[in-house]
Amino acid sequence: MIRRKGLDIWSFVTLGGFIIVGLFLIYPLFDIFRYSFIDKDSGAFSFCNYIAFFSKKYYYNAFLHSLIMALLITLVSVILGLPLAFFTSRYRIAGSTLLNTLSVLALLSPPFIGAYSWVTMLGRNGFLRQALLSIGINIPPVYGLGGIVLADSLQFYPFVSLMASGALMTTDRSLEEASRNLGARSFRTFVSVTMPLIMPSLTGGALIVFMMALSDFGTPMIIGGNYSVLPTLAYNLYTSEVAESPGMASTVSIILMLCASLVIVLQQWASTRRKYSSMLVNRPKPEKLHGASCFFAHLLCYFIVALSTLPLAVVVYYSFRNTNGPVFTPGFGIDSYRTIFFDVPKTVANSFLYSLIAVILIAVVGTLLGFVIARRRRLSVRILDPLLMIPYMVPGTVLGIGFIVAFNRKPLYLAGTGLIIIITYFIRRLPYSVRSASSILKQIDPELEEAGINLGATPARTFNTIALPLMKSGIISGAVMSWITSMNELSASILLYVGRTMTMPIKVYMSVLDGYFGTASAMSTILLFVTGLALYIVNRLNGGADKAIIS
Amino acid sequence: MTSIRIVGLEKSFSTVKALQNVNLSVNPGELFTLLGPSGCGKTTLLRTIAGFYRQDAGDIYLGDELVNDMPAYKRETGMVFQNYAVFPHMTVAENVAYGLKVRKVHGEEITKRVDAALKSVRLEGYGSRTPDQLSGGQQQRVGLARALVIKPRVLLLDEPLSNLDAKLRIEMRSEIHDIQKELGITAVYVTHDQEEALAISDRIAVLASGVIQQMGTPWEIYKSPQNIFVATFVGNMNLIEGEICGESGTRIKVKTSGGELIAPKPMQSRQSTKVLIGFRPEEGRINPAPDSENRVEACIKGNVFLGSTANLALDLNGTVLALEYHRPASNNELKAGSHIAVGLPSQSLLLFDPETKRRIPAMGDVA
Repeated sequence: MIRRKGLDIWSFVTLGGFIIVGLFLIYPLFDIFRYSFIDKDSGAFSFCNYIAFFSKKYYYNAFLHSLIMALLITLVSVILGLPLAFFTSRYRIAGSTLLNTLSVLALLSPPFIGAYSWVTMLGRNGFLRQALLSIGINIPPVYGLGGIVLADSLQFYPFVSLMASGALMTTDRSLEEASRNLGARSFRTFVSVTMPLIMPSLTGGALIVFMMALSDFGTPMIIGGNYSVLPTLAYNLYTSEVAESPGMASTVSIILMLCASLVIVLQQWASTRRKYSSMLVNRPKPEKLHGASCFFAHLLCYFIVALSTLPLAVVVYYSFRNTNGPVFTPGFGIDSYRTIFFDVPKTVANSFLYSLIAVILIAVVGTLLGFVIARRRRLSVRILDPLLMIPYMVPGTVLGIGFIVAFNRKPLYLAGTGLIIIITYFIRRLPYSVRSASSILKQIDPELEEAGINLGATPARTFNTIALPLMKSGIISGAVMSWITSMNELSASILLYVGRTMTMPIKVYMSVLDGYFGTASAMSTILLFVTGLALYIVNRLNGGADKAIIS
Repeated sequence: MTSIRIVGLEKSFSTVKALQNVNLSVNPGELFTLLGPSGCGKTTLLRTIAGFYRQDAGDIYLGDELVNDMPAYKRETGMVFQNYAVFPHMTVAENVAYGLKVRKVHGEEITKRVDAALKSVRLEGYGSRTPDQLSGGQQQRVGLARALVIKPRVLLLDEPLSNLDAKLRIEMRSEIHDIQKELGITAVYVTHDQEEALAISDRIAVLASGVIQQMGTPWEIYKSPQNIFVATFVGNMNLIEGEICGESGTRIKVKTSGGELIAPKPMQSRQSTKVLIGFRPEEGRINPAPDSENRVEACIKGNVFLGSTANLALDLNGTVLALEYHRPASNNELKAGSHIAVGLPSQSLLLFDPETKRRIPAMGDVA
């Protein structure tokens, strides 16, 4: 590490980091914090919002619902994800690459697509439910807790399977061989050696699922029915309260954020605990299965992935059905797509434009800040580093409320602009980009940059000619991942959009609410296609999107 | 040719003192080695010369120029790194050309100088290869060519051979030595390998805990170590506890557990002073003439055959001694458990003070 006194380009980058964090995180979050302590009627400082939250059933139920829902989703995700990871990483499963790709596609699909697809299948008039009714089986409509758990588990379980299979593929084979050599049977070896070895990764994956479930907004909104959770409660409170004084919505936001922070702290703790997957010399080799066990392993893996792909397939199918307004009519066509491109071309353009600008900002700023964090451990950087991780713990709904409160007045009046949506995308994704850039850099020997300096190149030139080219593929795949998440962002932008800044996820959401399933399906299919394309690019770049997701 | 002068250098990392009052001069054209165990401060010193660290106190001169406040990229010190640090995204030629491009040398000249540099490290024709197609030794040659091509004021080598296998290490070290002498460039060489240091250096500074223990030619370092650390770090040194029990002329008598030994007389010696007698394993004689001086009886604990030599582990009444002898014969006498006579020629014995761990200079010594 080069330690010199005085200012250089990296001092300004650090300063820029503080300005971004201060303006777009601390300032709006502090506003929410402040409002949560203001009595709406008198305008005085008071704990009345918090007292109300924990005394009125309407409020604290949402809190309990959130925890129950997130717990169930985590549990189901582990039940789905762990066997899939085990079989695909330890045994030869035909088409495991396809399985992997499909599950990742489900994971990265627009956040509410599953919910809305399950509604079309198992909702009140869902075709699957109707079909079952016609043969005399009456299952209740999917709305409520069950629906949320179904849709979210089938979307989020790949977090568990990716983390677990990552660990399963890098545990030292000789450890399991030692166990068998000492006389333990396969099952006992799995329970007493393999499981403890992959436990840190499994816990990490489960906590990510918990976090995603806790802050998910779209799914509970569409399929939750009356099952109110914290993000939907905050949203509903905000949209029904007077915008100048979002007291109760702020309180709910703060409580949601506290829960999220707790999960993040747990997750950090889990991920910093000792990882055992260090010896890469003796990786386990996938074994071949025979007979019945082979059949059942394939059946299980394909069933799990098929179930999670089903909602996507249904959406694509419906996008090509003919419609007449909200009603599906017989036959196939591209009416729904025509409707989109003639009626709301601006929405499509907005999505692409905003996410593209955001991604460029994310890549540039994230790379610069990532470099500072990996290579300059000065005091200022050590303060900035955790601050940059704040967006991890701020659910989109909370950030959206914070933005609309803080930027609906001078000095920064941004409400109703496209810029505020771009900034939302930017700030929500920035920590991922910073972290991935700094972790790439940590794998690059600092001696390489020192060699550049030693040969007479200035620090800036060394960064441009040595660090940057080595980081390039990592930066691009990180940017593509950011692009996917920005294209599919709903929970914050739904609070911030106005008619002319509407984006595709918002339009899908509105169409679902209005019952225009054709339009929603076509729009979702476009998003899905874009997501798939982006995944393909990432795969080509670094031979696997998995790394980009779980890093 | 540039000299290096370091005056009163201090450097701490939080509470650890990495360098304490380091003073040294490297003469123009000299190959100067910093030798010590890991964590002794040798790499810190090298990196401070390169400008990667800023010293807390003291001055660094390259030639007559004080470079304390000069950033690393202006110091013109060609560095060869332990992990080679060959840029993986550039070809061999691009790696070597990097420093020249930074200096805005024009195209034709770059090609010419890159070719010459690659030739000097015996990598002709490798210009278009990428680093992942090269072996470790070849990568280190690229590192060397890249450092030399900019015609630096001094060459800095940070454990350049430690990642290579034993045979290649010996080959490369003589090559580095030859190139350095041919160019006449001043070089500072960091290593923890004492044999490498002895083989390659004009002078050596032995470091421990951030302090220079001794500076001198390889011969001086090996033959007259100034303290126990240097004596045991550079080569092996047997140490026998004893007590001065008499003197005659230029000799003293020392009482040890193995009997009385005769040693060269120190400048000052007092009766019953406690001393440590040191001697190198190769100085001992096996089965000396019955009336020869310092003839002791020892029990063989082990015998390790190493080809051209064999190492004996001996027990001299509780003190373990190592003895090296040449052209070992298949000899049943030297089996573990048997007793042999060993001669310790008095002129090869060194005396150390067990308190200060410093050498007690003998009368004839030029300390």
